Amino acid sequence: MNQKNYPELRAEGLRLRYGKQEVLHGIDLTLRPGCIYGLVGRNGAGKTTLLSCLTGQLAVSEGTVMCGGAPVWENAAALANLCFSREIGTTLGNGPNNLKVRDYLEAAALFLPHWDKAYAARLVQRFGLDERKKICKLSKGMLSMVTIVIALASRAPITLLDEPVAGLDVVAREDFYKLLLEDYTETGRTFVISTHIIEEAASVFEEVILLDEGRIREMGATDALVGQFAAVSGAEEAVDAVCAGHTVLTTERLGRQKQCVVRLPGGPGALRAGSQVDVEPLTLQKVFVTLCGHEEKGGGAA
Amino acid sequence: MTGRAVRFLLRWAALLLGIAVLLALVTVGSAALLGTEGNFLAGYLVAFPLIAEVLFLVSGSSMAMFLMRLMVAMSCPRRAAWAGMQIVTWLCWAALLAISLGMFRMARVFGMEMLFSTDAVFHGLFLALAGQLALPVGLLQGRRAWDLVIAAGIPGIALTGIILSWLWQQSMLPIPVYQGIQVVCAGAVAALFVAGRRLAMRLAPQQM
Amino acid sequence: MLQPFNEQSVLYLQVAQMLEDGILRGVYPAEEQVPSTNELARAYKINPATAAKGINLLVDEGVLYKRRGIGMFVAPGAAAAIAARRKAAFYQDYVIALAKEAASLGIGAEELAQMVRRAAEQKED
Repeated sequence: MNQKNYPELRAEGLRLRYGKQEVLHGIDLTLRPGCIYGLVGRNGAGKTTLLSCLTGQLAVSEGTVMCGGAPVWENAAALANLCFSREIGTTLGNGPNNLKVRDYLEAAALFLPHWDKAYAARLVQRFGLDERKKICKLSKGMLSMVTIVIALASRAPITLLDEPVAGLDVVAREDFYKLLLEDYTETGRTFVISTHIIEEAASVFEEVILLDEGRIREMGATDALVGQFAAVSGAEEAVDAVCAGHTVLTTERLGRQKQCVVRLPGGPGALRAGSQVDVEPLTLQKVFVTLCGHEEKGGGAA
Repeated sequence: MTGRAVRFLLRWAALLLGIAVLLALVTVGSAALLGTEGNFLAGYLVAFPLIAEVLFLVSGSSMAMFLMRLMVAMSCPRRAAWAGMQIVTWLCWAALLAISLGMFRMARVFGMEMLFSTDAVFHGLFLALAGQLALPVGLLQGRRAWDLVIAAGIPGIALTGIILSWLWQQSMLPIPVYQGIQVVCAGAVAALFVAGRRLAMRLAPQQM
Repeated sequence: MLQPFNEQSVLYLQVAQMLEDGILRGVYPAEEQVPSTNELARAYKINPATAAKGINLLVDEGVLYKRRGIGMFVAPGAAAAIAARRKAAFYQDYVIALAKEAASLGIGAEELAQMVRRAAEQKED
């Protein structure tokens, strides 16, 4: 894409501890310029924590976070490349958040060096946001929209969004992906988007990062990752025969029918599937659930 | 970045100072128009510094709570946000002290009895204390134990200041005690300055 | 190059297929410009890299060519080339699946052939 010399964001040996408990275990991550990354993981996997560490919002316990070769922590030059757009709190301390939408936009304009005021205005209008409204009076959807305005109008070379579509209905979500791609095709900047709603976003992610219990389970091109998996279904004996010798991840049985999810690094072409079984590809969402479901603990090696 | 933090905070500080100036004008105006006898508003001429301290502490901690977090969340380095907060705090301190002393002068002009100490140093120190308390109070608010400390501590300090000031004015306080209090106050200001910076450097916003 | 199983889920292949369909149907005649990767990305809400992969596949196959600074264009004879390739792949992509399904339903080869003939003749009308 049109890279424009955007920097890369890199974490090495990143560990985060809250007191005695370690929440992120040795994360190694390189975010190359001009790519849209999806960060997916279950609740409590550590997505928000990871994003906070990457953007200097949270101090790491061990390891380094570098942007363009310089440490991120308390470094204005490195931070100038970053924008972390996250949930806006409706309460602060003991009281409601009486700041207005306008206050957030003004703060953004002041502190984010690449802020595009005209773009922000267009987005505010498109979303139908009232700048004079107090944050504590906004609906969940509107709060998400403010987050999105800040993220997009920041025009930061590396923009990280924490669950931007969480409060949005499906129409608004589709609109977000559209806006995201419009911005991306125009600027080619790096985006990292954490989300729960995986399948509809999968086509937008060039690469995906699977975070599971504080570790990166998988990371790589979306289609390359998804292409390694297949669901083999049919009669039990036939399925077992086809799957023999391959890594079987999950098994589901219904009567004498069986479905196994297999993983083949070289792709399902290696399967000698006859006419007795159906071999189907998996969606990213299904791959995620397969890898991070942990339904049957103690079954095999994780 | 510190410059931007200052610009950002000045807007809010202007609000605080605006209120203080308004209050001052109303007070002086009422004294001029209605006289000082039985005029409770005019009473604020002598009590103004106390109001100023409370105002300073409340708005300062509010600013710390809301705006420090927002600045850091918007990628402003913590030390720049803290420095900006300090600059604006001291500017407000200077303004509020000036208004307070001006109010004392007006009180004398109206021939009012001074109930409280008019010593600039004394008020300067207590006002500085209020200013430096604002940041830790603002950042620690929301944490159970600290809320109790704050709820008990602030009125405690305020009351101490009022009582001491009154005692001094009534010549009931020995000089060494009076001066000792001021030294303790100065020490507290310095300690809070350092504590505030430590807290600011550990700021990790959980939300924007 | 193509996976010997249902490749319909692979996004970039769908992009390539969709453009090929358009060329075959005459929506994009020879020497006509096809939508850019950015336009495709925005229209179908997919990552431009995916769209680019699909287009590059067609470039590799000689279906599209690049005019520097302008965009991607349909190569002359592309429609014919696509038709020929698909005809060659017809057996693999359609007939095998048809036979498999017929076998699972107990439809014999003769009966299947008759069904196919009937359908083919109907289409010609």
